Amino acid sequence: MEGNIAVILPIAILMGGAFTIYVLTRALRLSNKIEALLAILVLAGALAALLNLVQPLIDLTNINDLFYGIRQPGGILFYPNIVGVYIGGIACFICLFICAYSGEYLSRDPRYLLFYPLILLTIAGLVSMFFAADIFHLFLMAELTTITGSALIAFRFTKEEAVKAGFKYLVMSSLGTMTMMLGIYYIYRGTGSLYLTEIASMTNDFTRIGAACFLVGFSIKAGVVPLHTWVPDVYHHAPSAVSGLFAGITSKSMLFIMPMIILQLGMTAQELGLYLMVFASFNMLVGVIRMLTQQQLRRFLSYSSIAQTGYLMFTLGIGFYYQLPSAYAAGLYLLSIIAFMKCLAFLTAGNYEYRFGTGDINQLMGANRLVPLNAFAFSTALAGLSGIPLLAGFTGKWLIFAAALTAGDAFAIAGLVVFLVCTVIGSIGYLPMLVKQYQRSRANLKSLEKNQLTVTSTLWIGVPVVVLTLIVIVTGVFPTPWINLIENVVRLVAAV
Amino acid sequence: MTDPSSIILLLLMGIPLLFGGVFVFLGQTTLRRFFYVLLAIHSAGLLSLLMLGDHDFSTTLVFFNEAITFSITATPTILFILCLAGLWLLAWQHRLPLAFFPARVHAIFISVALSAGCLAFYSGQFMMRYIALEVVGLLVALTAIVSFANLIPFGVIFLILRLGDLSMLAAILILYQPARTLDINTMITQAAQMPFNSQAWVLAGFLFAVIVKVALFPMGGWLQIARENKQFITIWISAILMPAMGYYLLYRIAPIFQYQSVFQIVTLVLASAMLLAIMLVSYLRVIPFSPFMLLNGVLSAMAILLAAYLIPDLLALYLFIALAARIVLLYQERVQVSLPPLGSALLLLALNTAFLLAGCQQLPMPAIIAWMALTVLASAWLYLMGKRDLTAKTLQQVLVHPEERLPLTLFTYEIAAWLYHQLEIGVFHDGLVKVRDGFLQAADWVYTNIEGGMEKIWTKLGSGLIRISKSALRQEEQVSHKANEGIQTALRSIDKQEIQAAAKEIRWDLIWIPVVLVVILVYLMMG
Amino acid sequence: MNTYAYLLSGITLLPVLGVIILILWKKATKTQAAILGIISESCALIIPIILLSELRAGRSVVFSLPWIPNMGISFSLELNWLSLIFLITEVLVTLAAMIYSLGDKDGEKRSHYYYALLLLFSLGMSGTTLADDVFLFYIFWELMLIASCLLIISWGHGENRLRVALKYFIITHIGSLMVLVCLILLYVNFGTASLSALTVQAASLPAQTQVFMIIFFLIGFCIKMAIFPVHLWLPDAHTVAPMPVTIILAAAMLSMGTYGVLRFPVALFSLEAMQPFALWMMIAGLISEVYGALMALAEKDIKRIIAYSSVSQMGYILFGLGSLTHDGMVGSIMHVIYHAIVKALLFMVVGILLAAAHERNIDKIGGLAKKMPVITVCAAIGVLGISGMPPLGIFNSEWMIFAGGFDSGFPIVLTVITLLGSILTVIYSLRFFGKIFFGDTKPEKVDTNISKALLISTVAVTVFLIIEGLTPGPLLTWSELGLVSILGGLP
Repeated sequence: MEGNIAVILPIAILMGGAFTIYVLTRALRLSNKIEALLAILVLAGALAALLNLVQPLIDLTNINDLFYGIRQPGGILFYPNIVGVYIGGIACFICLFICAYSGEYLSRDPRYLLFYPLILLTIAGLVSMFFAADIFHLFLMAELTTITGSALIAFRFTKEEAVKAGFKYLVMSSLGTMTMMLGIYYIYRGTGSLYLTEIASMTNDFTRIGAACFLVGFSIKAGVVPLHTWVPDVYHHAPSAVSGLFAGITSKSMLFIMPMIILQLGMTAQELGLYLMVFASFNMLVGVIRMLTQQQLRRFLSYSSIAQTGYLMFTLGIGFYYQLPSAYAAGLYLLSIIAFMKCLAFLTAGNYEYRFGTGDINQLMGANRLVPLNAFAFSTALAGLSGIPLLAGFTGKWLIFAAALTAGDAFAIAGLVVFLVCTVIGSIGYLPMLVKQYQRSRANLKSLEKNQLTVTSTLWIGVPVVVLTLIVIVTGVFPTPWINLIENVVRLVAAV
Repeated sequence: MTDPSSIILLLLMGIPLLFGGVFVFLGQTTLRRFFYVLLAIHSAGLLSLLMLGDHDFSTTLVFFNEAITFSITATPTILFILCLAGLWLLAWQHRLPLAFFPARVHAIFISVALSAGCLAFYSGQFMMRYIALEVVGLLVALTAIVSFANLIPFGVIFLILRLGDLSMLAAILILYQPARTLDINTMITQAAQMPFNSQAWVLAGFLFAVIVKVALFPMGGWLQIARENKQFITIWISAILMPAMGYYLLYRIAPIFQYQSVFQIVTLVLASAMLLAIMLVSYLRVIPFSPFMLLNGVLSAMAILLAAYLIPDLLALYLFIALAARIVLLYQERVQVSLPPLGSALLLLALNTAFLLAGCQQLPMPAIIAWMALTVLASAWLYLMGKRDLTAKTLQQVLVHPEERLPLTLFTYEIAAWLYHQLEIGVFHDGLVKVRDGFLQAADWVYTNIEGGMEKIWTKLGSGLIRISKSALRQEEQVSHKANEGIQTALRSIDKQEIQAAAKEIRWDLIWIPVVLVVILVYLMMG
Repeated sequence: MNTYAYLLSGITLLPVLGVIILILWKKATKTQAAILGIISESCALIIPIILLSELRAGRSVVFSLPWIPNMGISFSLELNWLSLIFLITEVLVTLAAMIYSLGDKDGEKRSHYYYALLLLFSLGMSGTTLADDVFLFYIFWELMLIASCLLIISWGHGENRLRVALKYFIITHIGSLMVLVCLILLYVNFGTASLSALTVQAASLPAQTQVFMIIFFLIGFCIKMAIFPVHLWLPDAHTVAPMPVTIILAAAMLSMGTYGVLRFPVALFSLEAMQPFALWMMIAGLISEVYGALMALAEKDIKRIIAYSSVSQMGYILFGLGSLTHDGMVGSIMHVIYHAIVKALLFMVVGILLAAAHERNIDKIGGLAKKMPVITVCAAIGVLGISGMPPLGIFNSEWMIFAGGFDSGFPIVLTVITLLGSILTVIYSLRFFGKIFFGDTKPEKVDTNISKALLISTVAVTVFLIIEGLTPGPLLTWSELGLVSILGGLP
């Protein structure tokens, strides 16, 4: 193994940390909270390691200078890139909150032991996928995320629906990874190499078929219509924190890994952009229409997630189809804010379920009186998702508009029209959901209370919720730092 | 602005308002005295204006960036003096008993009317005139409110007068375009350069306004309603002042007739038609018009006819006579003395013939013929109507009692009956009610079908969207359900297999693992 | 930036302060919250009056802070003559509504939120008039919508208020999105969000883009102005909203649509570019005028009658704007202001009637003149005002709008129909007045004990209406100056 160890450090910390935490907790019989704390430490370390990679990446002149791994055929190789560092950083940051939240949420669950390692492994897999320089390694890491994902989803294995959802995710994701495997076959057949840099210079029909296979595989993992059917069940039945992770970061990051791989396999940016833009419309429409009549909070959020994936695909599609870096930057910004807002939404929805034992908004009417801070946080998340100005979502909406209008031609405008229609229909969904928390309840909500937990009663839940709410609000009012950051990222990407 | 006539005029506008304010606080007897004082001051002021002669001046007040100007000439002064004479007459007639004396409110109305009258007659700006006419219109409508029982008399009067004012407004605004000033003289002279279309609209607008204000058939309905309260002195505003203002408007806009000869011909036809309509309608007893309304209608129509051929002094004189006749007729009605039929007919004949002789050099032949023919017809009609006892017998009643028939009728009654049924539909008085009902019906229809329709579309869109959403969800649920069943089956079969396998002592089904490993090992060692 | 600029920022920041205090002051009674709201709002009134001196000297007041520099967005406010007119009207109406609300029964519960939302609503409108940056403009524009929606949902009347609020939100939001598309198109084409810069540069856009933008701007803002056929949201929203909100909605918020039309398509693009649309605007205005009046005639709910009358009056305004002439446009601006006062008055009267008679159906109310003489007089003046009776305000603006119509070069008959259509206004307003105040007294029990706050605010608005009508001079001058500020000269 040769190269700069800084490249592998984040992944090593995450993976190593996962095992270490498991062993320590098992051996020393540590409590849930301590394990959560350990996980937070590991994540903080990984975040630091990722930030450590930033300067080398800025100074990089030749892509071959910064790597880690075995340079011979058949060897594993890691090439870091700034987008991976950025998204990995966001993922670690979000996971900090998720672990903190689970510190309280899983207190009564005896299986907490496995939870944090699985989360860490998922993130490790994700970062690895970004840093993968060979497609076999990519496939392996995709499999890793599939497995850890299924395990996390089916975490509450005593509940039948959770197991079914996990199984469904396993089957569909495996289908995706199997398709990727098929793609690998074609690529190897066509080029004789598994290294992306080599393949990129040898593209032919076989690699293009492989690219198509990878496209399908990633689409399944991202939840692109019509391969999205796992999304509602998964987000509904998985533990809230896991749903937050998936909806916020893991599924959407696939949309960023996808171009990185596929564009090197011989698919042109125009084709990719076309695919993304066309299927984005389906995502937006399907998500928004099915969201309308959904009364179950988390299912509602899952369809909203499908729609958000659509928005992201639309922006990225414009970026690739019309070669607009600003659209790609908009996509990165959108990913970041969706991560925060979705995470917040799922965490607060989880709070409702934890406290009142139900996720049905009709039964949660008037929740504002009992849990005002939670209701406020949930409202902020929903308002942000629907694009209300002065919250994070609006700047994202503005950037999408700007990207589409910069592109200017009929195709982009048509997509923009679909986007507009979906925004309006989306508001029909978000508004009642938001308002019902504040309306007078018909039934006695107090009678549904299972435990007296509130956002303010414990820091483990309070801090993540409050911090995320503040991030959503502050990013909306002062998006400048984020936008600066993203512009720098995009500049580096363009330089390479 | 230091001219005496300007000061007098401004005082004439301000003093009635002051008195009006004071009237609010006075008792009945003091009120009467103050009222006479006001009338006296006003009369004196007007007489002095007449003696001081013509004068134009502008004030420092500005209306929409234009200075408010006044133009004092003899014609409006004489008209106003005549109006005031009428008011004196009415006031004198009311001197006993006390109960008939104007109540406080009516005194205030008359004060405001006096002030507005000054503005209307002397304003050099069209908009000021319009404002004054609107204010007087409001007062006329207010005099119709006698109780809190209903507002309909007020509404109808206000509407009709407003309609007249709106047509006047349209004319003023069309004139405003080329002139870019609201000064009356400039606007009228500039109108000569306007295209035919615009001139036609202007004239139509003004003519319609005049017809409304002088209560000429068919727009006389408002005066009919106002006259229901003719026992009050405020009838002066409706019956005398407003028509006088209409007459003066006619006088001022008369130059416009000259711009196109077709205007004169059309006006000739129109005036003749109105005259004939009045005569026919009263002859057939379709509407129980009073002599007041009928004779004033005749004189007004003839004034319009005269105006079309513009001989300013003659026109002014005719208007004075028409106004004086109005006052006389009003007085006659109140003291309930009927007109001598032959005398009044001959008077009309003499009057019109005199005017014809005075102006025959300037009138073209068709006009002369029309004038004479209408005069003869009107005089004959006047005689016949005077002979008949003017009770409010309707046509039906006359048809049933043939002895009530007028002489020289031949078969006219049968024709009249047919015409009556036609006219009944078109008669303005009833027609207004039908128009109102029509409006309400139209409004209801539009409300139900268009507004209601749009609401239905909206609701359908919403429920349609929700239905699509629900069916899409149901589809997914079905698919999900099937998938779940499949998974269930798969899981159960796996469980079964596991149980079966676990029951065996040696797991012979796992033998393939070491076999495969051996095979691989062999292969590697060999390769 | 000088002190004036900082004062300008106070117009937006002081109400925010008020909002924050109100949100945190949970124990406030309704009166306390109302007084705090009134004080906050008064600051927003006093400041423009102080800044008037700067405007008179020929300088517009600008406050600018960089906000998102890499997107070219700054927090910029600008006070010029046009914004001044709309700002002062809006603040006055809000003040009147807040004073009115003291006597109104709504907002008893959670008063601090109620007044905070009212302040936010007003802030949205002030910000809209002052914003010199398109991003900021849109934020304030949406803030108006969100605040009013929340007010309707939480304190509105009737079971279907959520549905009505949703309809209001969606229809208006579609309009806002159309405006947003145009704003971002401007932003994307010139790389800046500064409205002052865009106003100078926008005329250089290709003709096709200009046409597209004008259409979208017009439709978007006409939705806000409730022009037929996109007026659907208005009657229901006005009916279910609490009375002070209805007053602000009808009197002030509708005028924001007019402000938008003036500030965007008219100011950005030359009058020549707007000329192809002039006839359409005038026809739409005419249809709206007649339609609104017909609906007011057909309605039986007294609140809805006045609501539809707003649709009709907005039709006049669009007609005047569409004429693209000096008289028409100045008349429209003046009409906005006069209409705001008259509408506020009429809705206040309706509110008092509802409080007194507890009955909304016009057939079931009658003969109230004897029992409520003061309100009768106020209502009479309001009805005369809306009918265009001189010397009350609307006459002044109406004749200018008609003059503009005649001057526009389109067939005379178009303006004549519009002119005659105003007779419908007389009909429905007289019907309204006559049925309620004349006739048999019904219902039997009428509560004539009217709260002082209601009475004072109503009478004050009535007096203001009379004074305003008698002195059209200042408003005329300001309107002309406003038009100059956006067009560079008079048309």
